[in-house]
Amino acid sequence: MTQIVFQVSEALAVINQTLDYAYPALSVQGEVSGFKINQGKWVFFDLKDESGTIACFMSLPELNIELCDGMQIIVRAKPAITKWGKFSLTVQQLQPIGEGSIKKAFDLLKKKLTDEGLFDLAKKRSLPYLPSAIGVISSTGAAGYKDFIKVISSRFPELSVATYHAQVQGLDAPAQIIQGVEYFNNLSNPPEVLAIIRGGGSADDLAAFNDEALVRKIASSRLPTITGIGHEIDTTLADLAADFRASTPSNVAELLVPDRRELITETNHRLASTALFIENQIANFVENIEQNIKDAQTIIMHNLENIEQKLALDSNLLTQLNPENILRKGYCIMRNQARQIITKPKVGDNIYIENHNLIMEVNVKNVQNK
Amino acid sequence: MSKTNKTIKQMLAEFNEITDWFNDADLDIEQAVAQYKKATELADEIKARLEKIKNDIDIKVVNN
Repeated sequence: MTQIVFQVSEALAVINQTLDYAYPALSVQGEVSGFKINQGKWVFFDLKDESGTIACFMSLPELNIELCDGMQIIVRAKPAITKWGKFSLTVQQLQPIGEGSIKKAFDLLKKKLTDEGLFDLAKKRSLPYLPSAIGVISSTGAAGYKDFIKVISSRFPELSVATYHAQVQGLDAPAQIIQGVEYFNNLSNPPEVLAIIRGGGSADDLAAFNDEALVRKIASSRLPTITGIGHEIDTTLADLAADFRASTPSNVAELLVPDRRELITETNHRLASTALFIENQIANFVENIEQNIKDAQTIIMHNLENIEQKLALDSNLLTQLNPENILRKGYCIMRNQARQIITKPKVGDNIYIENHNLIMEVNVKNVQNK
Repeated sequence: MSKTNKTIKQMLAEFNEITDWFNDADLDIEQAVAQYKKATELADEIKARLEKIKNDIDIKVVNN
């Protein structure tokens, strides 16, 4: 049998072709060792276990979590031999596994993004009141999504819900959720709010929501976002980046729309309060008017009393000034023949003397000054 | 049959605006009665619509 003899480069090409055919994408788990970044562009590290080590390489933009030596991760990578004969994995995706590694990656990335201001409270937008259209990103087969639909349907059914189906755990989840965010953000008639939901799970299950690219995409969404990921105690970086965090998918529904039965109760209450307010206002008006009338009556009575008093005084005075009363005191009025009152009769005049009950015609015989 | 083409949200906003108006202490009593009548009509319409919407939710998956 003739042996095929390859040149070195040909051998490398054949081996790489075989690897590419047999293992187009390999998932490998191991501990990170020798992590370094070269020229600000290339990431190098080794993945190792108790008895083996594989070199790994990737471009910095594709590194979606914070890595450090000692972390346990899973990579999805393409195996190949370099032209220098070195076997390595070209990493396409990776995620931390195990609570320790996940927590480590979480803490590192959280600090980095916090320092950038991505989670600043000042950037948070409020949720729209009674949205008519909601965009949801979730796995439509998952229990969390079904809970959300059930709760929102019972609370306030008069709205439209557009769902972008995406995986919510695993290596492919971040990219799919990002596509969902981009889909809704790019709509010419977008929904009023975006909800990203998934039900409870382990730290591994929720790791996708700590993916740096996904967190940045949520933070940059032009649509207000609310997340409902896991249980109440779970807080992911996606939760911190969103405008609002709900504790569960059901809680998302409760926060997005009011319960129509509560709305009816509140409407009745406001109407009753308004009616009571009007009744009180009318009572106040009536009381004011009655008080004003009383005050007016008091003033009128007081004025009347004053007038009566004055009248009595004037009447008294008038009585005193009545000529009849003066005549009764013995005084008389003298008149001439023309009945005019005179004060200086002359001797020989015929005059009339009038007292309180007599008119006497007399002839003046003598006049003397007192 | 609904007397208006307004959404529930629009009617609620209008209703709340009217009831908030009553917070002004210096209001005209006749105007207040007129506003109350308007609020009552709106409330009846809102409640009727809320009772009616049982299964109006429209759900669709956009990337099936």
